Amino acid sequence: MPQQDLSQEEIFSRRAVILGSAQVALLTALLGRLGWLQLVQSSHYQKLSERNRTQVDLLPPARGRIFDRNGQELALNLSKYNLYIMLDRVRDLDAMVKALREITPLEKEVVEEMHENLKTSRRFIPFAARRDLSWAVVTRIEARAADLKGAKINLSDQRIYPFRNTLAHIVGYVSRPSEREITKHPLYYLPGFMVGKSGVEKGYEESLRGLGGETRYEVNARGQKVSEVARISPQHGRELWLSLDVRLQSLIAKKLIAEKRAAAVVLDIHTGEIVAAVSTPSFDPNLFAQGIDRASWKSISTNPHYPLTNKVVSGAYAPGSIFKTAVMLAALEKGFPVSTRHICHGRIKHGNRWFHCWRRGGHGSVAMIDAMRESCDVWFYKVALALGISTISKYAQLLGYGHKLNLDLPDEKAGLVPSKAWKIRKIGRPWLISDTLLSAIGQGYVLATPLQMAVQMARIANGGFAVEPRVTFLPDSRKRLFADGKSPFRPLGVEKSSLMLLRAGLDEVVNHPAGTAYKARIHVPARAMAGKTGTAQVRRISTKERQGGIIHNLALPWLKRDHAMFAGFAPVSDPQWAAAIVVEHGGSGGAVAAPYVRDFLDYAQKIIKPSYQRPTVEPTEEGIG
Amino acid sequence: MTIYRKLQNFHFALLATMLAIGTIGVTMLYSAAPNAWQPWAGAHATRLFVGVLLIIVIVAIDIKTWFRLSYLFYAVALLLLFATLYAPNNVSAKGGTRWLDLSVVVLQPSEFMKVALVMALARLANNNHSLRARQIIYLFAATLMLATPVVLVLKQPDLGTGLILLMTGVVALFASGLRVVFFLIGSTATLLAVPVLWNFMKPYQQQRVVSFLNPESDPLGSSYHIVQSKIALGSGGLFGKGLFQGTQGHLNFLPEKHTDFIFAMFAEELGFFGGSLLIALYVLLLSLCMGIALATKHTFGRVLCLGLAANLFFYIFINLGMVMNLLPVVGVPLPLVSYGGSAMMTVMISIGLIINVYVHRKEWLDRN
Repeated sequence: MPQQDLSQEEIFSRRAVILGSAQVALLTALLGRLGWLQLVQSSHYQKLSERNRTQVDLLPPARGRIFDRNGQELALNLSKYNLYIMLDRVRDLDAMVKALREITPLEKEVVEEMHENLKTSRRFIPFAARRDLSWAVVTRIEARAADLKGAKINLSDQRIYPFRNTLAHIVGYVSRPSEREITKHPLYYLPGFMVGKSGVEKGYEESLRGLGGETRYEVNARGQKVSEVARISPQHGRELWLSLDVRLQSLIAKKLIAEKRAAAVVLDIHTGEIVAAVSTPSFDPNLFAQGIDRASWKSISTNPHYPLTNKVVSGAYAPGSIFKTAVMLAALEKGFPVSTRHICHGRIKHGNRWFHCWRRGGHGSVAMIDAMRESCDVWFYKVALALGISTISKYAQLLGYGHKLNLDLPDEKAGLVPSKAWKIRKIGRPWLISDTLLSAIGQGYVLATPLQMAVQMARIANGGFAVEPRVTFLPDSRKRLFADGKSPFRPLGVEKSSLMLLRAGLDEVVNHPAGTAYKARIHVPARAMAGKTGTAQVRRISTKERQGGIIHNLALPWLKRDHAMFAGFAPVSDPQWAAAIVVEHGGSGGAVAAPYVRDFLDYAQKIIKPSYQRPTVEPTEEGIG
Repeated sequence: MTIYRKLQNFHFALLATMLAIGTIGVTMLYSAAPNAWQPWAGAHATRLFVGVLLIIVIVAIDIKTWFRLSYLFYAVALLLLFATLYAPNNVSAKGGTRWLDLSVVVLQPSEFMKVALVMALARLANNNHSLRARQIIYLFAATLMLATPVVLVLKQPDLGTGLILLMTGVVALFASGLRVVFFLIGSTATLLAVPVLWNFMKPYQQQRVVSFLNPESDPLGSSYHIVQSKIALGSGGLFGKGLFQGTQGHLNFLPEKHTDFIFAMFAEELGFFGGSLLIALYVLLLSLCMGIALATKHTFGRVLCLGLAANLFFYIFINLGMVMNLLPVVGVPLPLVSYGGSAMMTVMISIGLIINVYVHRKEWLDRN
């Protein structure tokens, strides 16, 4: 072999090895890549493969029913066939509407709304085009399923509220989840699935909703179901029993129809269980559960009397003279004797400003109980000057003012008990003595909800326990304490004697001929009621007006008239129920508000049994009544 | 050399490796059907059998005959490529004209060209191996020999085959001892030509490159293939979902599962374990070819061996790289596993020629 061939051979061998090594190296790199995909990232791709392979159909749980204390159904479900349009899957909406109209009528507004939704992100939310379809319509639509792509018949539960307007604020209502909510729960994407939007439907949403089940199918690449893989049954929502008595509730609702805006509440003083709570005007929650139409929504949302607001818990009013109850408690606890006397000339001057009593001529010489009975403003001005705002605030807070009461309903308001620090912080001006004077008669900055007014009475009447309101029953474990004459709520830490004197004062307000609510007393002594009137000004009466003679309340435009209020409890001898009412711009508390509460408390005593064993009452307390 | 001697020299290990890989192919095509011999697995098995007969025939013919016929084959293949492009009786499919209908058989001349090109380049190298002074002339001839079919295949247009043809030819030239400096110049020129090539590409080819670079950008479009392939591989895990149990393949999420994406289905059902076994078989196959090349005394045999092995390697590497999302989606089958007659035939002829080289490894071949 020539010399050249040898080197040629060497070159070839070297190059063959280079080529071979390169190929093995590259294939080893592929092996590494394969290992990366199949070993390291395996779980990720297994999930993707599983998602590819399976389709999950959610099975909605049935929503728990709601009952009143006597087992009356307040919210129930009815299965209905509804027509839903998956707007994002519709090719030609007009063609579809045309085809559907051959089967069932579709309103013009509905079609317009669909077109609007199609332009926004709401197109991903199933649109309820028609509800409660007959079986004949259902079969005709399903027969044409092929050319009605995007139309879906859905058997879903329709929430029914048989008492309509009567319980709208407490029970609340369900409705489709909003665009913002819809991502929060997988069930929310189901057409026809409803979520609690207010009242206990919202407050007890989790328990009422239950747990969704699912059916898993194996599907192929075209989305056709190949086989059922697994099924998990839904867990239906729990039943909810409210402490409400629908009979009392209905009575109150019926009576308050006469008023434009009013709120009333009746509760058990020991347990805090609310037996009735009415806010006027109301609305029909069924409208929301069915999917409210635009006209109804407009009429509800633009109603000047705010039907959607539960004024019992969300309405914050100046409590007026009802607040004097708290001032009196403060005076007693600070050692003012019941004989504390002041002369009322109808007004006092502080600085260069006059502070008036509601009785222009004055009450003359009044002691503590007299002042309470006749609601003498001057007496309370003078006592408040001696007490100071911080003392008044402290006792008002003890009675439940100025903070939320842990109610199991949404939208509870805290109200307001002002303090020096609060005024500096919020208003930026120092506290004035005149602020103390106005606070003493429940005006100025003081704000309270009707519920707080009722709770105040309950805390006085139940022997000084910090009862908290609720719309469901107090658990039996907590009620057991009542059998031993104890309370599951913490004591307020006030003297029994103070409470007795307070109750005596509240008794005289109603049952003494000079009391501001004497005309509204219950004539049967065993059911006698005690309480406090309140007439809160909503406007300032000018000096000029006072000189010229105060305009009679009824002569004023409605919006400038006083709020009429009353809060009380019954029976005086052995209290059981507390109640409060605010009639907005209703006029005088004694003349307008007290008679309502009389009727409510009388009826409650006659028909409602407490939900627990009654505590034994100390005999000494009975003597006072 | 007698037939008996040839049989004694026969490379049974290479044949066995080939049959092992082919059997994996039959199994997977059975699974893809799904679970039936029709329409792919049965035909694939038959082709394997026919392929073995073809290999025996190729080995039986003396290497000198193949050596002499090299240029003729090349000329015929070139003619067929021209005919594919310009004759009226071509068959168009999937936006390209790659098949030629010869009324008897439908041929894919580019497949034939792969073997013919390597044979022609091997013969050219054999004739010039000792003449370093003539390297420029040799380079010129070799470049022309290589570039003509590559351009014709690219015009079909078949980017994948064109590139493989080019790379195979380059490896054959490298094996033949062409000076390294020419390869450096060549690769620099190629890099500069990339932007030009991009403009030369059809929009769908450009789209494939784009979707290769970012497959998740367009999951239902052209990168759907890649995404589903990765899911099939990844969900296979260590031991796979079980033979005939792959969901990605059986529920039709995996596209082209009987051809280009058959490896994804295989690795889904048998996992990393199965996937690495198949890769190991390919490594063995290629190593055996390397061994034959190193044992061969004549340049024709060496270049033929390394060129044909390189051709096989490029198919394996590009297919697996594509399935694993390391390379863009180009329609390249997996040798011996993917379903397809023309490609199978090419592989069989290649292996037949390599075994032929082995049998005649000590022959002396002169210029004619």
